[in-house]
Amino acid sequence: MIHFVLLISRQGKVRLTKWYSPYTQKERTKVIRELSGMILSRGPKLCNFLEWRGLKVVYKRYASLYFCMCVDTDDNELETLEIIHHFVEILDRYFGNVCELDLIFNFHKAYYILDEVLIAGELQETSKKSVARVIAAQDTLIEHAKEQSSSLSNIIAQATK
Amino acid sequence: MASAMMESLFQRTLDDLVKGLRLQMVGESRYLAKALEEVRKEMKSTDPIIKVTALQKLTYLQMACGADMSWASFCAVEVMTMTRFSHKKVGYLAASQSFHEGTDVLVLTTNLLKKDLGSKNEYETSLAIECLSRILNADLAAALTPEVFTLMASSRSYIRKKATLVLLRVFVKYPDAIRVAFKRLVEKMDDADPQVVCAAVSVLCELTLKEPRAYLPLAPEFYRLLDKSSNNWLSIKLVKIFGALTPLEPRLGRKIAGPLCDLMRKVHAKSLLFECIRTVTLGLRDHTGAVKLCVEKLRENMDLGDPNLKYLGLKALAALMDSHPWALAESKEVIIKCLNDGDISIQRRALVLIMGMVSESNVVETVQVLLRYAQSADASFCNELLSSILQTCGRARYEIVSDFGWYVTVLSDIACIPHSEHGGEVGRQLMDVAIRVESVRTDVVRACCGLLADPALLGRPALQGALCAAAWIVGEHITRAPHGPYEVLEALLQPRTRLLHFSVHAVYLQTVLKVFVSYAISYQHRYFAKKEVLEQEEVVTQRGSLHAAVELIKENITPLMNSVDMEVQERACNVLGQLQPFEDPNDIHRVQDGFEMLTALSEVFSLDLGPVSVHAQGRVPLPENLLIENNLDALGPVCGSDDVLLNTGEAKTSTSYREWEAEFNFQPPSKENLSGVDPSSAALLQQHRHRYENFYLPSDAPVVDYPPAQLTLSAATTASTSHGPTDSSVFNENSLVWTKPRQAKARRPAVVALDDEDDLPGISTPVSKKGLKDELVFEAIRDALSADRNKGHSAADGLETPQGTSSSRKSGHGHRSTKNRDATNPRVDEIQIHAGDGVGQEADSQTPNVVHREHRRSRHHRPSKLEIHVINDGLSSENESEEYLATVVAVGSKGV
Repeated sequence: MIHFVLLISRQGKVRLTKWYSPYTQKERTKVIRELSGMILSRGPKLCNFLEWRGLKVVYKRYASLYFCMCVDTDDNELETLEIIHHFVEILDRYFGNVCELDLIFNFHKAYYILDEVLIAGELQETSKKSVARVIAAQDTLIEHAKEQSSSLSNIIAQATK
Repeated sequence: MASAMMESLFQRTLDDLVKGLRLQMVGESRYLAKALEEVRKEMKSTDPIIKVTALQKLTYLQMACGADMSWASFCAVEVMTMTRFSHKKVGYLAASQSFHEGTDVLVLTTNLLKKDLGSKNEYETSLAIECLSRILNADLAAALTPEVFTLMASSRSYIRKKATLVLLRVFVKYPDAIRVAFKRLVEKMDDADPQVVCAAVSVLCELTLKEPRAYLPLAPEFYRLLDKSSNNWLSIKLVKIFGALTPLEPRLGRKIAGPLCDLMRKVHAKSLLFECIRTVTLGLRDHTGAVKLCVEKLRENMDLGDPNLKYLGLKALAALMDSHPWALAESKEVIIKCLNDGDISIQRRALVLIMGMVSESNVVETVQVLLRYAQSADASFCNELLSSILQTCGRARYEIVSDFGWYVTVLSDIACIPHSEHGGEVGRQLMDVAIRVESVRTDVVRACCGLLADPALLGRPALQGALCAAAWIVGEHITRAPHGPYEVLEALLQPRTRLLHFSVHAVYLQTVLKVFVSYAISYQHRYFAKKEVLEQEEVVTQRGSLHAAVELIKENITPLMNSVDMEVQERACNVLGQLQPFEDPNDIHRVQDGFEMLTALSEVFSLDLGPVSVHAQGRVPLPENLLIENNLDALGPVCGSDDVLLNTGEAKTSTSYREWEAEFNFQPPSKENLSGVDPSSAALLQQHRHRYENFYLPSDAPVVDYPPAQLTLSAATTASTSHGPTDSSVFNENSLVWTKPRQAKARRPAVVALDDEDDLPGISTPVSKKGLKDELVFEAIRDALSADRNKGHSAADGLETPQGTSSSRKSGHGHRSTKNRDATNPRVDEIQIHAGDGVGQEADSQTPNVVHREHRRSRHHRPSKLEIHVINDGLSSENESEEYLATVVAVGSKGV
């Protein structure tokens, strides 16, 4: 299973973290520091796997972002790389040519998408189309609610309550 | 209300926060503190929108800056309870990011989750499930299992899939759920929706990896799925499951080999290909065809130049290393090239493989290649190289080393390599070789002299272990030193020795004393034996003369008399004390007195030292007048509480001897106690033991697999040499020390082995312990599987080969399996018989379970049996009584 997912920028800034195994806040900070040091220092033409604390870290760089996933030793590294790619493709479709800034300002959306791809450290949906559909459906739900709350009549109604 | 509106208008949105954070180049922590303060204030607001935004900002800060958000957990729950979906979503996100098993507000979420799991909006349900997978603890799992169970049968595949996946967490936290939900999980493998099937297989895959044995009955199901699967994700999981199952059931391997090979030939996805290879390396090693195909595919892929494939290829080869050495030999050059890859992961893998290929015939060249790489590699990899050289060569009593002269130079080279940090191990092996292999002692001493003479090595703390050993070896075998004792003295007394750690320095000083003694004696032989007159001018002037040596020692050791370390100080004083008679070369009487003393000392030093076997005590001959039969009754008064002792007659079988001993404060009796039993002696004995505890044998001595060498590194050396005279003589006279040198191959020098060294650390494999949790899950799954047998029969048919003889075979095995059958798990046996396709294999079918069990049982039983024997002494078998005897003798001679 996947123990955690990390998105780190080339400068070592954290862009997204998702922990499927229990890590305390302190451990999380330590893990991030340790791994970003290890991953960022690796050259471009090396393999995408690291052995780390009895686990395996699979990472891949897309533009300025490193996508890392930590898996068990008996998990399939190439499959994990494919999961990363799967996730990136879905992000790309959703944001339309995704870039780091999209993820910075829409971090919650990135989470919602990740939650449709993975659950409990396992891949849950292998079809990009269905993820896109589900996310779109939820977005309409949210938009609908926003419209309601921000409509002028609603504000007036609230103010005069 | 108006103020709330104002607040909401002027609240910083998430975008503002992120932008602000990005603008802060230096004062980020101050900005962070301010933002957190703001969030804290906003959380108190009554306006839901403000609260939600604040929580979202906090979630961001926690993720991006590692800010603590445990204080906001209650607020997160509040937001989770809001009715609006967009708010709820923020709350759930915050919860799943920050809650953990021990979060105190979890109790408040039970009802909320229950409600949301049953919500009409599937997205709300999905939120709840996702959150559940993160925050689940035993209580929540117990409360919510029915909900999850219902959701698994939901009409929407979106929900079914999620509920199925979350089941894994539920099982781990709450094994009772398995009884309820396992059957449904298995049913999900036939679900109409491929994603749900995938989910079910994922869960089963995780479970199988933890405890494969329990899932053997499901093999036909898996096989069927794999057969018709066209989805690579699913196939990977299934192939992985078979990787875990096939080692347990050989016939399954034969069944799966064909399809797996087909899959490998036609598949394009590398991930699936490598999963197949992995399964072959795990469970199909006997299928030559499959292994050959694997090796072929591996070589193809490693030649592509992709570092990922290279890494995985090396890893797969490593798995084949033990069973198919030819696979490695064929790709040896590729592997050696990988050492230079520039990628530490690949280098490490290659190193493992190379060390796996080392044998007696190629060890020399391999080690030379590795040493060359070590000189150019960076520090950490260099040390990995060195440590694997040391480990491999030192394995099983230097099994693969035939030329020890060469190996000694390798050891000293390893010490001299600039990044080397393995001084301790080098020292240990040097000393070990010096003690065990007599024929290379001269080489060892020469190498050690080289190490001692090099001033550069003294400045490297990591090497002090090696220097310590070198000093001891040289001191012990000073007559073999290539350039004579004076050179050694100079090396031992060079100014940089002050950089040494005290414990090492103490060894150096002891060596100085030994070298000086040997030097003086040989000097005496050379001059006084013939002339009987002290020729003054010669003594005073000549370099290398006795007087020069005395002066050299005095000059360098005198400052050490003020050393802060007591050990060093004492030894310095000792050395100087020995020198005193020689201070004035004109005082012939004193000098001669001195020589007499040194002669006595040299006799002491010339005794051979060696490691003592842990069981050496057992070979001590029994003193004639020592009665050990029937002595246990007499122990009652010794212990001072005889009735208690008698009462424990039955209890002895259950409690261990050690516990029993501890409980009654029992000590093995000394000689005096046996003949005349005096109640007060118990108290005396007690007192004595209390006072001189360290002289008694430890009551609970763990069995060490390597006998604590009497002369390993600093501490042991210090101790043994300081008591040198008495101890060593005792050892030799009583033949306590090692015995027979092992008969080795013709050209290989004998390596002396202690006869109880069978369980060398390299050979024995540690028994791994399963976690309690896994055990629970395993038990529950067994129950679940055995509870539903009917299903099992139909499932079993999937793998059964349609043969006319199958029914007769079934009945034939019937009584066999009932004999051995394990009551809790009848299905496993049955299905194994079904699954077979060869009559000759029947014996195999039972082995996994039964053998495992019996083994375990015997392990449980053995200790108590032994203890009974020991207690009833007279009845016990020879071995055990000898062990007990040893204790008695030891206490008798040492303690009292």
